[in-house]
Amino acid sequence: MQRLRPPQTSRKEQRQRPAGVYPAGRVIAVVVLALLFAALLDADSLVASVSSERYGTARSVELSLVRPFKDVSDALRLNLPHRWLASIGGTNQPGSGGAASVAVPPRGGVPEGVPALLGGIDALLRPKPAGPGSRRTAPAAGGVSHVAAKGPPRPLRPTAAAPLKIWVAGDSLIGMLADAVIGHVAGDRAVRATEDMQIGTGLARPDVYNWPAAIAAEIRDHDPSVVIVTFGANDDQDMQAGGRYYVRDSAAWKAEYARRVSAVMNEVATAGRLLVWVLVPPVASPHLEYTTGIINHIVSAEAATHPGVAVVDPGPAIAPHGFAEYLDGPGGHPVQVRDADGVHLTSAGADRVLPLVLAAIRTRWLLR
Amino acid sequence: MLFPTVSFAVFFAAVLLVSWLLMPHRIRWKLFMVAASWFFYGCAGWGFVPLLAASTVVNHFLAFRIDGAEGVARRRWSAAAVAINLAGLGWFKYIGFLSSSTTGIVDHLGLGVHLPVPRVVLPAGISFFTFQAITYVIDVKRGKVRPVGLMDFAVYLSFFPHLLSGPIVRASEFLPQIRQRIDPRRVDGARALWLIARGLFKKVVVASYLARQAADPLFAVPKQHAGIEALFGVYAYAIQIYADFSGYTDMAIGLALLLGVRFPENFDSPYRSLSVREFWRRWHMTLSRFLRDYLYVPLGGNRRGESRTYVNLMATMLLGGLWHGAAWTFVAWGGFHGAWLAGERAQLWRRSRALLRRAAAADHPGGEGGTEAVGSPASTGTAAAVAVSRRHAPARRRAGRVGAWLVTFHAVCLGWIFFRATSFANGVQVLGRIFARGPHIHLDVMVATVVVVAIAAQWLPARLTAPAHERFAQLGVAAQALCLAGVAVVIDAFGPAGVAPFIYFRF
Repeated sequence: MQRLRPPQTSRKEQRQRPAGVYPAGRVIAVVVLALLFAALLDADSLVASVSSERYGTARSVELSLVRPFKDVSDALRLNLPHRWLASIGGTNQPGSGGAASVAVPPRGGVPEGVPALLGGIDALLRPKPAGPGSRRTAPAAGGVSHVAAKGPPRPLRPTAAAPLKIWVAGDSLIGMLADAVIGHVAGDRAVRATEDMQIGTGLARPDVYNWPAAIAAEIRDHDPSVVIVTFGANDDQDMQAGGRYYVRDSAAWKAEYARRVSAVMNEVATAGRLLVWVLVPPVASPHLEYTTGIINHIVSAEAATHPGVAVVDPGPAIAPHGFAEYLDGPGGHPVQVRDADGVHLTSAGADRVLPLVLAAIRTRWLLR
Repeated sequence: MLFPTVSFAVFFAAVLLVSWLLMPHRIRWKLFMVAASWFFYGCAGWGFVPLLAASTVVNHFLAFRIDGAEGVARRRWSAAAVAINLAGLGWFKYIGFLSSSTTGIVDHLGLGVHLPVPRVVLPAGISFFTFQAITYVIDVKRGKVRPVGLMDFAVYLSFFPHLLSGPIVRASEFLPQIRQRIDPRRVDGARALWLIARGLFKKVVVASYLARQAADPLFAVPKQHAGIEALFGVYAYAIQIYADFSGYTDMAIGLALLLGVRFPENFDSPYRSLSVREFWRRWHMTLSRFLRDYLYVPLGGNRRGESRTYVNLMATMLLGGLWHGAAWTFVAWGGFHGAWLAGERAQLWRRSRALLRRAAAADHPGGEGGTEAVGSPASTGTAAAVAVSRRHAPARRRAGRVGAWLVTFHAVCLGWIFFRATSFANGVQVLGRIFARGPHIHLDVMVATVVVVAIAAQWLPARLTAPAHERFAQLGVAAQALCLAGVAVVIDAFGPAGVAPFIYFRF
């Protein structure tokens, strides 16, 4: 093995080293010290970041490593500058439920027509035969099932004076769909649509983002008449609650997840409010597909016992034969409906799901 | 594993330490650096590490075949190398696009043939390491670089600071650095740390803020924005993509510097450009020179007459657009830049001819010989033309510079609309909203301020920040570390929760 020795330099040459040029050892010392200082000054974020990882050995080890930093930081109040700056910036407060929400009031412009869906809306509105044995609990023809929804017999017409407030919330899967909904109602002074998308969140980990709390706050503060949600794409993991640990796919896990779904439905679907729950469509990963199948089944089962909840299954619209990145468009041309990541919708995909969501809303409200 | 994350910080600190410990042992260092880079790449998708390894081995083999061949065989081997690299890139990046576009065309002709669209996931960074591999084999063919050992080439191709989004470093720039001893007593630490801090701020604070507050809402739902609000949404995207990509580049250059390797600059205040031609000399400079040296010049550049120059410019920019993404919006963006560059070139030639005519007329007052000077730049008329130009320039030039900047900046922004748009219709809609009048136009003052400050910062002379640099450089170890930690706290406090991937990661 060739071992190279650095060339010898005189003291004079060392003195002539330009400002800012250092020996490697000094650079390493600066980098390591800077990371240690940052860990102390920013211990809150560090712990929050590690806490948001999936439960498991890696997370436990990392937490045991970073918690001492937080203890020291708390004791010496080293985290105060960061907290103060964060309060000025109004950002970076996991679980706060409001900081990252994007509220888009309707403005000028004429809404464009929604692209026609193959097969028609009516076909997608057939009642869903709920069956525990099926992977997708949606009807064969797909779409919306008003599971035990007993809304008013005649849809109401919103007005500019009493606008219909729609709140779209959920993980990153809701992003494109939220854009489609907001875009559809843009310019309609009788409808106000807002969204709150929190990337990498779900119902499994309220310590990462507390959706039940965020939903309760939204209902208390803004009282939306229609709430559109989707959860589950990030819930392929174990859970903890009340000192208990729930292993994914176990009976206890399913029961706990059902309890959380039920809690959201209880919170939202009251006082004439409509909750539109969009199921997770088929995804590329078989592992995630398995879990989202369980979650979709839980949601459908819970919806059956909660009046005022409409379940929308986007599967038949964007994955009629299982996950597909491309589907035939209106002219037979392939259209990319899913991102290459195998999970998210493209805008074209969201446009295909949008009529299903609108159809669910139209059972209660007259929308354009 | 994104640069602005805790996991990357821990990874890099460990790599930095081990890298300098192993530096005296060159083979061990190279093995370690390849392993670290592949681990870094694996974090983006373990399934693609074999692809990177295959690219390394295949291009290494081909480089030696090219080097050992002469004449026609040499050209054939190099053509095969380029074709293999482009085939890999084409399969992973363009197969879906090609299939759907071909089906569209065939269907339009009434043939009713639908090609299958294979499900292919785009490997991160494939555009960048493929281009680097191409520069290597072509430079070997041109005799600019001698083929190197497998380990050296593997380090070059997979070196993690530039693996995912460049800069596109040439073999002739990189390989000599790792083949000689990197002096552990002379690490450009202060500059590296400054670049990393600056890059973090640009990416995590500026780019994220403008994306969330202005650019994303505009492109998501154009009809909700109108007039100056929509215009500033487009400006915000222009700053966002600059802050995002140049922030990444700053970090990449800084990280490489800490490991003892120098990368070329990739950005030079592009939004102060007075022409689109100048913009491309300041924006993504390593891509620009790749396109120039490996596409435009081999096509003939400007050596084959005026018409051919326009064709070459257009072809180069169309392919450059397509390189950014497999969508017609990127092709349109490239075509727009190609057309604009051709227009500028035509204007330049027209002016030169006019100046030469005037100069010739000045040289031969009253004579017919003025026209003889046209197209003869080597003639004595050139010096006179410059003199004429200078006489007429002073006052007009100053006003003209402002106009030229305004035109250039807005031309670039116009291109960005289609670069960012999800479809042509989306781009046209955004463009239309700029000229629309809405009842609720609301210009976010903070967004406008950030945009204006970011544009103004393009003219910030280096001497303004030099004292801060020098002061930082003179600080002790603990003080420097404390400064960096403070910057990290500020960035974290003002940045959003979670870090979005860099825009150029998907290219």
